[in-house]
Amino acid sequence: MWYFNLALTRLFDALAWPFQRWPAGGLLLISALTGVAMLLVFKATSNQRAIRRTRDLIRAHLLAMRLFRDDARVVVESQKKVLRTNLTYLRYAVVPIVFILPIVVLIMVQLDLRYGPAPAQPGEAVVVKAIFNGAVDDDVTLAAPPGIVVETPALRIPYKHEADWRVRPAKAGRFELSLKSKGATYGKELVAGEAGVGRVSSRRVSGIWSQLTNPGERPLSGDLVAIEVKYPSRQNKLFGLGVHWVLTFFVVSLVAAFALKGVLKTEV
Amino acid sequence: MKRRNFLKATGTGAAVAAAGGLAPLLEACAGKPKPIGRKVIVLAIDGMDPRLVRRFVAKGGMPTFAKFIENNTFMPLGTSLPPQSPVAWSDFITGAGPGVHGIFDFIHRDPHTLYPFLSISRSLPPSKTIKLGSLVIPLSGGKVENLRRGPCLWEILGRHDVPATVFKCPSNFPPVKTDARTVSGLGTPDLRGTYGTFSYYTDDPPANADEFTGGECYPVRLWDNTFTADLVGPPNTFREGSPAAKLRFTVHRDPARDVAKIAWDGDEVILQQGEWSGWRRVRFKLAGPLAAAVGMVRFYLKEVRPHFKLYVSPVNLDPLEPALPISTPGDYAAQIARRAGRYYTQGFPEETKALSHGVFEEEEYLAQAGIVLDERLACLDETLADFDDGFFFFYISTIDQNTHMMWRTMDPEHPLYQPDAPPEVKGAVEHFYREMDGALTRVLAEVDDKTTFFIISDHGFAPFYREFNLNTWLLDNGYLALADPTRRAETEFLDNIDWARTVAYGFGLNALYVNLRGREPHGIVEPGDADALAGELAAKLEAYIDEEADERAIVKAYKSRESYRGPAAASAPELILGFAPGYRLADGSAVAEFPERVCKVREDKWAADHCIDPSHVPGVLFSNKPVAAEAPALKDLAPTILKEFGLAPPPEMTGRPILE
Repeated sequence: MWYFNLALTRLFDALAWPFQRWPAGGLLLISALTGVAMLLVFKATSNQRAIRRTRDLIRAHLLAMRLFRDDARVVVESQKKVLRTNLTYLRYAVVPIVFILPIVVLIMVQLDLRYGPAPAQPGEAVVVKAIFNGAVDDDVTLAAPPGIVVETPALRIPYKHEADWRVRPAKAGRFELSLKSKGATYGKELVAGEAGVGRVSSRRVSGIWSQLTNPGERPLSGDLVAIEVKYPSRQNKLFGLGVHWVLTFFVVSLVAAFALKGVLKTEV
Repeated sequence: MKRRNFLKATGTGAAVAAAGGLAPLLEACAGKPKPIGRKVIVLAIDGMDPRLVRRFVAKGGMPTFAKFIENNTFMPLGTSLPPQSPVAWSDFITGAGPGVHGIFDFIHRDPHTLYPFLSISRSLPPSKTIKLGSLVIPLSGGKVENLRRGPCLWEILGRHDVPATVFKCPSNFPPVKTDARTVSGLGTPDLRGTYGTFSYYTDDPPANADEFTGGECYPVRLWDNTFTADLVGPPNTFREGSPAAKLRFTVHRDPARDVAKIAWDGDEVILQQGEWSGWRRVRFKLAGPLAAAVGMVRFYLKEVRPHFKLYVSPVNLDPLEPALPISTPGDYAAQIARRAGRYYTQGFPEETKALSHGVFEEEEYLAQAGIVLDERLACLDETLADFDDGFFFFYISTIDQNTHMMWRTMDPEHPLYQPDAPPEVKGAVEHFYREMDGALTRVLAEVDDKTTFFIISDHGFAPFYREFNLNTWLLDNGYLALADPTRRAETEFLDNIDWARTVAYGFGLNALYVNLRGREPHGIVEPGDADALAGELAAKLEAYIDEEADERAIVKAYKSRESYRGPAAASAPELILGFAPGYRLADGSAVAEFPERVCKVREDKWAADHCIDPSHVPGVLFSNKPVAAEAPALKDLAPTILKEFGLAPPPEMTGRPILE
């Protein structure tokens, strides 16, 4: 899973690389490409002829409702058929959605890595949280390189198998925190500095499925389930306005898909 | 839709989702005013006392002030009648007295209902709503109203294209709509609509927890070193009866170490015992996901064990996304916060109530006051950096609030003087005066030969040794009667007065009202008799001797008919009490309570004051220009500043220019 994540992350790094000075541009490009990809997958995995026929049928029933609006029996019957045909349409859409959904999730996970959390600001404290498989070691410690201050001893919450620290970066950069528990050492990246520069991985995790949604760092092994830095949320600006990246992603990808469905000859 | 219009449409309780997206556009629209080549700078230090300045300068702790005094003007500045901050700063803003601006006290009473309200501003809920179950949907605009009347200095400057920056001037909430860059000061509420209500969570509630004013104590019980509690937010006007909106948070304490974590809504903060957090955004849901009120708090972890004690500051309006209008242009408060960091937006941010009630020890209070000052000085740096010319006004509350609370530590005659207090506590007032020296240094860097510069304060200070209960005195002397004397101890807000047998009552910190027919709802004194009655009361009050101390409590009782001129004078109290130094009205008497004794020793740590006779608490006036007036007063500053820009004061301004 780690190598799959690594390959995907490198691919998105390459896509975002030209937009280091304008991160929103990378989001717009990836969102538009996602729209195109969704369209192509939809075309390849759906029964295009059946979808076209179903849409024609819906149009015909709607036309019947307009033409025979004085005949209540026809109107009611057409409404029933519109409803039934819609269900048929949804049935045809299920298969392509099953193919599209995992792709969209993987793309969103990669986008969240770049547009979700903001780096910690130098001088601003963040919380580092570790979740263990079992009881928290009484002597668990977190060490930090020069430039990062661990300001509190471990705060242990035994019933949640959790230990937390407050750390404060003094300068910008990418740093490696070092957690020691029961003789083992675990690393965790901490990013400090200006927003808009590269990936910010909040969580380093163990377990295959957790890795899928947290692809930014190598998986953990041993006693530690996850180690997380509670970064602030990134304030993404699009043409001067603050817009959440998820909204931008869905709007741009759907607009791109609908705009290009004629060009790509796809029935949606 | 602009933020302000949105707020008007939804009312204060729903002052919610407006922040955010439009900020950059609004900022871009704000623009920079064109230069005019002339500067007037006013550094306003609330409560700075001329006698204390001389004393601390003489001790060598204020070298910049000492140097400034050597070469420039330093003299007392006449304060307002009464010498209360809302009144005094209104004098400054309008260039006139209370007869013009209509602010007579911190607290006024509605003459129709006799219910109290804060004199500076008032919130009005939406007048039209519809109910859907328990949901209340506003159909018309609620609003916040500035109750000060009369001219406004920077409004006049703006009309003549003189740019102005006014930071935290009291009696300017909501800020007057002008082109000036302003941030509101004293009068700005917290998100609950109060002047500041802290929250205190503990498993060891103090005995006086039920008597807290300006704060609330919430008992908690820790299970497995964890508890969950609610932070109380604003009244939820989207719900029937406007119950308080609440934000649930969880606290985890380490099983052995003195460290704890506070977690809410996906945010977390970890504190060790004795640590303060920075400002943390809190969001109170009002109508599901559709409406929320955003504020900010600071946490202070007072004690982890043996008892758990967590203080949470009043929920301040967040300058980055204010739920109420606190600046002009609307984004100006946020512009400063983005550069200088978030800052207290409530009017008087020093946590005096927590010290009075024993939630804070002296050192804890001083640490919080230090945070306030640090924030304010950061804002001073940022606003000065952005100031080119025109009018600049910057307000600092530090000296006022800390002199109120810490005078007793430097006054051996004070009943609450502690001879063995640590040096930093005994020297607290002097320390904050020294800090003002640093502020002066920063401002002087901007003063050039085209600049007229003033340092002013609204009043000085006097010790507060003994409390005077005006309503008890009126009761004892037959001017006031209780409807049910057995409820005397429970009486407040004029709810137990026999109005048919009452000719006068006290309300506010210096005010005495006649129960006037045609004005009060149950008035019995004919308007023609009011003046004679006021005269009789004034004579008796001035003659009153506090037998226990063998001193006069009241130097002079001022008849408003003789003291005030202007369109608002008709709503003034009949008498303004000028207490002798060492005396002030008791807190309870200000809201019409009836303790047994007329005078008693002051036991609260708020143990110095200025709500006394104005002749005993003048403010300070420093200027780099010679002052011609022999006895300048606060209301003279506005006409003086206008004249410096070549403008004539409007006729309502009764003050006169003071410079040569």
